[in-house]
Amino acid sequence: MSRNDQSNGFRASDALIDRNVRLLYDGLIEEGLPDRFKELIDLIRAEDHQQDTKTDDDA
Amino acid sequence: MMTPEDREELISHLPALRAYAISLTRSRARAEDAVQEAVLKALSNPEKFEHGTNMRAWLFTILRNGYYSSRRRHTREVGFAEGIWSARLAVKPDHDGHLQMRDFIRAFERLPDEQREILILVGAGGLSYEKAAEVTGVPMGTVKSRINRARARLASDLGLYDGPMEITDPINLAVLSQV
Repeated sequence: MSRNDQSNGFRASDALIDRNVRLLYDGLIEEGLPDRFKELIDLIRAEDHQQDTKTDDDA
Repeated sequence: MMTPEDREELISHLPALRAYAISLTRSRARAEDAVQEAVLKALSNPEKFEHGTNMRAWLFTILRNGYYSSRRRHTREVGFAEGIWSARLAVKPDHDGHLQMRDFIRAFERLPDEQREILILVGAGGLSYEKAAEVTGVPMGTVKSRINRARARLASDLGLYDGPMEITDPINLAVLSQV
């Protein structure tokens, strides 16, 4: 049974449609992240560092 | 406050967030801007994330709200989807499957935005109807009806019937054997 078979009356054509939608979506995911996201990831992790520093200062 | 684990989880959702954004904006450049804005909003409002809830749905909601808010402010840039799905086509190995996928993409692109979006969220993104309703801000019944209408329209456009049909693509046959 499909993971998204959330309704009664799920049909064979629905399974094919969902499979194709997943293929399209997975294709986008598999492209990976462009370089500009590296800065974003650094920023997300840097906030951890700032919080750690702030905690140390508070202590 | 976001814990280091929350932040790592947020990073792990970036590819899915980008894929969802591309399906909404139909442009890689606009999608990446939208993801960046959504992440910055999430980081500046960490108290709005409830631990133990679905972070992906939370991020999708922020992204979607930001996108539609921005779209209302600016003239909608309507354009062809600049072949956003074509990368996947190139790696489809089976000739029969390749042709079917090309037809599928054309039909998928013709769906109303709200129907295409809900198929992405539920059919591909793995959100439950309940979470998809939260993300899109509509009742769960509307989510169900959009999904049903989208599937029915695609099935009609592609000539998919639930009676006997001739399918030669081994991947499709494998999918059907699991239903």
